[in-house]
Amino acid sequence: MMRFINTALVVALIGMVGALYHIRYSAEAEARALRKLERQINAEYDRQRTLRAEWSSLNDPRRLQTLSRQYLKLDTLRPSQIIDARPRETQTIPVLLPGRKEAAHDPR
Amino acid sequence: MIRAKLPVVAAGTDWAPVLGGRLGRRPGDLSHHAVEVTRNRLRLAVVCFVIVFTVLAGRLTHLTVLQGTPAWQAGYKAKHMTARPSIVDRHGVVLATQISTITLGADAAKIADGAEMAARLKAILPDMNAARAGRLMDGKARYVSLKSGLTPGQKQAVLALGEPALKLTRDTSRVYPTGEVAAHTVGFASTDMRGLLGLERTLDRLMQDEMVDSVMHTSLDVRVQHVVRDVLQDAIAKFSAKAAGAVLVDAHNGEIVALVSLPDFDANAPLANGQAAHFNRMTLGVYELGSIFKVFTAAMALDSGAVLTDEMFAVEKPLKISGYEIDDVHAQKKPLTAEEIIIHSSNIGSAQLALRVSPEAHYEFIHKLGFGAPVPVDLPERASPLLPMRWTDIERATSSYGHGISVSPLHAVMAGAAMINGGVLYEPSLQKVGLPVGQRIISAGTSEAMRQMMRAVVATGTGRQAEVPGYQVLGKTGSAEKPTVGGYDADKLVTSFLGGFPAHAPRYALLVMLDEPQGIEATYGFNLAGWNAAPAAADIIARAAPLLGVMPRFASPTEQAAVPKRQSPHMGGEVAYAP
Repeated sequence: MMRFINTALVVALIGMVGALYHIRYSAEAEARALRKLERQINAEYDRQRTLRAEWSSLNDPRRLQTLSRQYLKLDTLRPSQIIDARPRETQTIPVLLPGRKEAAHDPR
Repeated sequence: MIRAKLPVVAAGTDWAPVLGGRLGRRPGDLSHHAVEVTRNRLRLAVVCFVIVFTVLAGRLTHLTVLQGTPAWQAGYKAKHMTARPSIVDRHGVVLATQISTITLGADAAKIADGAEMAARLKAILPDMNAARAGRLMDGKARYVSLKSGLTPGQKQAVLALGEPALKLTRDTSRVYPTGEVAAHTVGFASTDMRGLLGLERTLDRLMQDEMVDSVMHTSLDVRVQHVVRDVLQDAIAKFSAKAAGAVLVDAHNGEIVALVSLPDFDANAPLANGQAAHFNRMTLGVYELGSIFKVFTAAMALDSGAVLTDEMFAVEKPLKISGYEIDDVHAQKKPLTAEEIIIHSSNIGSAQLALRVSPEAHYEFIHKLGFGAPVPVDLPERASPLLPMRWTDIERATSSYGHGISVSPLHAVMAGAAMINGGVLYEPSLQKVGLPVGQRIISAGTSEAMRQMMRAVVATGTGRQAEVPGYQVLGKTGSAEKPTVGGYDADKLVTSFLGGFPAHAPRYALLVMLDEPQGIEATYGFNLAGWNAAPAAADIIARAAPLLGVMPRFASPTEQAAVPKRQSPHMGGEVAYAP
């Protein structure tokens, strides 16, 4: 009986050692894969930051202004060129004028 | 086999009878006592092992099952967070970010002909200093840095040379895609990623306190920032001014939409213009801003109840206080109301308004405006206002029109916003404000009166050149002589325009300041605020308001007819005199 138990224990021990080594090597492989993924993620983040910076640089208002003056025949927008797209009856904007104590509401 | 020599003991039985029997001794002997002691020690050891392993098992369960963030995830986050947070404007446009760069170096000891190698590299890297690189590679140093910031294409070309002495290393650097546009506000960081100026320096503190994620969202609008900078650059060129600056804030929460101080610098090469260019005139400079202070004085006088809106003040003759004489540049020939004092920018009238209020209440109001402490903005560059050393009638009178009291332009624009937004002073913020919390400093009624007065200044007074058709600007001009040793220099002015738009419901407050602008032919030689700061403000509003989504509104012919046709005899003009 004792011999059987001892044999079983030794077999179990060997099995567990084997399993432990297997788990350890799997874990190391997973860790390597994770490190690789982390590097890829960081590289992607880095690339994202670079692209965003590039986008901001290309959309720099100074650059766009220079390009528009060079290539477009457009003038600076004047307030009179802006039209209220809301329905006419809702276009009630108060206007404050000197000498008037309350803002006048004038539907256009 | 050792096992064969040992006595057989059944599980759960005692060794004592076996050992005792073997030794031929009975229980109760000395040997039996030793066995008992051993047995107790064994029990103790077992208990200790059980406790230790229970603790270990418990901790393992806690770490793997119960804990919210798995350890590997925490490790990943820590690695990812090593990049310095980017700074973006209110629409997500990147103002500062950290990117990986490639640096080219060489082991000079392994290069036979430095000049020849430099020539080969020059073909790949046109902006490299070939002469310097050649010199470095002719030396004996084991590593010399040749060029940083290589593009991926250049990196490939260098690798294709197949020269083992050339070294390519990956590095990180901080870049500012918009360069000068928001230089003073964003600031810059050193090569070892430590903030040295502006928000970059604030960012260090926020990172230390773990109060910022991977992106810092600011309240700036880079488009408006550019418009303001563009207009100010034109104004400096046109009026040969020494410097200029402007701040545009949301009057209803204190968010700074644009802050420009000129001269400025390229944040990517911060030392190219010299360190003097790092000086932020809007937050770190303090100035006697002159007549724009009359707005605060009138608000104080009306709000305290000491002065009524229709009350008349005699301004025909100079006012004598403590042996000093306060005069107006353009003397008025009739008594004026508080509103007319603002429209005509009368020093005499303004002094009288201030003196109606008790010295204590006046002093308290100055502090309520925020002029008693550095402006509470998220920038390390903050100036303390300079208040008069004494607080007698003459100091009170001169400070009523902005002399003898120096504040930063940001101080002034925040107080100005409170004048027009219904009477609430907000703290300036460079980050988006969720729930604005301000402090009421004047009543809504007084604020309404101030809007009327400031609108009249632009409609009929010294600020007429600030008017933008459709946007109904309101404001006040100020032209202050610069203090010199022992007095003031009448030829050197700091001109400013404090305003807001649109007048019917002011959403934005604006302050434009020019340092020592000169008179030109188009201004008939005048160098006062109405001729330079006011039109600059108009240009800013005309271009920025559509970007900010402010709808223009044109008065109907009947409304236009209702505007009083009051012509100021002295267009653009008031100069505050110091005693």
